[in-house]
Amino acid sequence: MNIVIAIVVALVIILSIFFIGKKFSQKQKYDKEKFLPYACGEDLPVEEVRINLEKFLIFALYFLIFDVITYIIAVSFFERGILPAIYSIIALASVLVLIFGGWHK
Amino acid sequence: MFEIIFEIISLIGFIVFIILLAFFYEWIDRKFYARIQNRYGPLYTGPSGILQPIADFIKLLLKEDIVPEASEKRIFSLIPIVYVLLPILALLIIPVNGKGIISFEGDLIFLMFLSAMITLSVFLAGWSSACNFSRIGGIRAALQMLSYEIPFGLSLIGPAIVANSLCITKISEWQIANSTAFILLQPIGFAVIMISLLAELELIPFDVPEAETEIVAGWTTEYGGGRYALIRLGKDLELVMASMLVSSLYLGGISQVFFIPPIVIAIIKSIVILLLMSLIRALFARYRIDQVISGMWKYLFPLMILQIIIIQFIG
Repeated sequence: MNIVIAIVVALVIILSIFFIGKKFSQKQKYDKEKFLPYACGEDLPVEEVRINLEKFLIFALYFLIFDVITYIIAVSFFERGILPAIYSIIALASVLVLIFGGWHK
Repeated sequence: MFEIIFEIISLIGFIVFIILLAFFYEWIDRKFYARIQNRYGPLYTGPSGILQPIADFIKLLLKEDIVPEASEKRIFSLIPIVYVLLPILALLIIPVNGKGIISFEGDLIFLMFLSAMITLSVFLAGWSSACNFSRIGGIRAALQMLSYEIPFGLSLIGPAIVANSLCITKISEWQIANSTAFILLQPIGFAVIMISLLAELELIPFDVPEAETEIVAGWTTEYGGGRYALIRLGKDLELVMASMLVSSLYLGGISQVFFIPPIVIAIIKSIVILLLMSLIRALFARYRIDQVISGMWKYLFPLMILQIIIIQFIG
C-alpha cells in the first residue's frame, strides 16, 4: 500500500466527518464577547505569558544532544557487543554529570 | 485498477473500524476508571452506556463552531485534523491485523517521528489559541516532550536490537517465531515504555498540559464544537495506538492462535494494556511539571540506558 494513498484516504474520512458535522451544527448571530479569549470571567491583565526561556533552552539543548545519541543507538542495531555498550556507558555517564553536576540550576 | 479500488475500500473499512474501536476503548477506560472510584460511569446510552462516547462525539459535532478572533486562524483550524490524522497513520504501521498495512523497513523510526509530531501539534494548538491558559498548556506539553521522548525512543529500540530489525511487523514476528515476549526479556523496557506512554497521552500522573484544576483545560481551552470533537477522537485514537504498540512490541506479538484471527488477539492484548493504564490513572495524583522533568531525566533515562547495556551483553 502506498503511503500517500493512505494519507489521502484518512484525510478524506476526517474532513468528511468534520464537514458533515459542520453542515448540521448550530449557527448563531455574531456576538463580540463570544470571540474573546477565555478568562474565567475575570479581567486578566493584557500582558502575555512570560516563559522562563533560559531554562527551556537548557532542556532543549540536553534534548537535542541525547536525541542524537538515541538515533545513533537506533541505527546501530545490527552491531552488537562491546562498542555500543561502551557508547551507552559514556552517554549514561554524561547524563549523570549533567543532571547531578548542578549546572541546570 | 480493480486491485487499487479494492485496497482503497478495505482501507476505508479499516479506518472506520479503528475509529469505532477508539470509541469502544474510551468506554472501557471511562467505565473502569469510574468503577475504581466507586461510581457507575456511563450508564444510559446503549447497554451499560456503551454508546456514550459516540453520543458525546455527535453532540459535540453539532455544537456551534467558534474560532477566537485573536487566534492564528489557519494553524488553529488545521491542528485538530492533524491531531486525528497522526494516530491513524501510526495505526496503519502497527501490525493490528498480524501485518502492518504500510509496513516497511525502518518504520519504527517513522513511528517515533509521528509521536513527536503529535506533541508538537499540541504545542502549536496551545500557541495559536492566543489565550493565556492555552499557551501555558502548550509550553508545558513541549517541556514534557523534552523529557519523555528520549526514554520512549530507547524503549522502542530495545526490542529492535534483539530482533535485529527496525520494522514493527518483523519484531512482532520474531517474538512469535521464538515463542517469547519482550516483557520477559526486557522488563525495565516495558516499565519505561508504559510510563513514557502515559506522559505522551497526557494521562493523569503526567497530565500537566491540561491540568483541569490549574489551567482550565490547558491547550484545549479555546476549542469547541466540531474541532473539539476531533480532538477528543484523536485522544481516543492515541489510546488505541499506545495499547496496540505495547502489545505488538512487548506482549509477544500479534498472530493467529489456533482459529482465533489476529485482530481479536490484538484487541485482547491491548485491552490488558488499556486496563493497566486506567488503573495507574486512577491510583496516582498529578505530578508538578518540574517533578515530571527531573524524574524522567534522573530515573527513566539512566534505567533505559542500563537496559540497553544489558541487552548488548546478554541479548
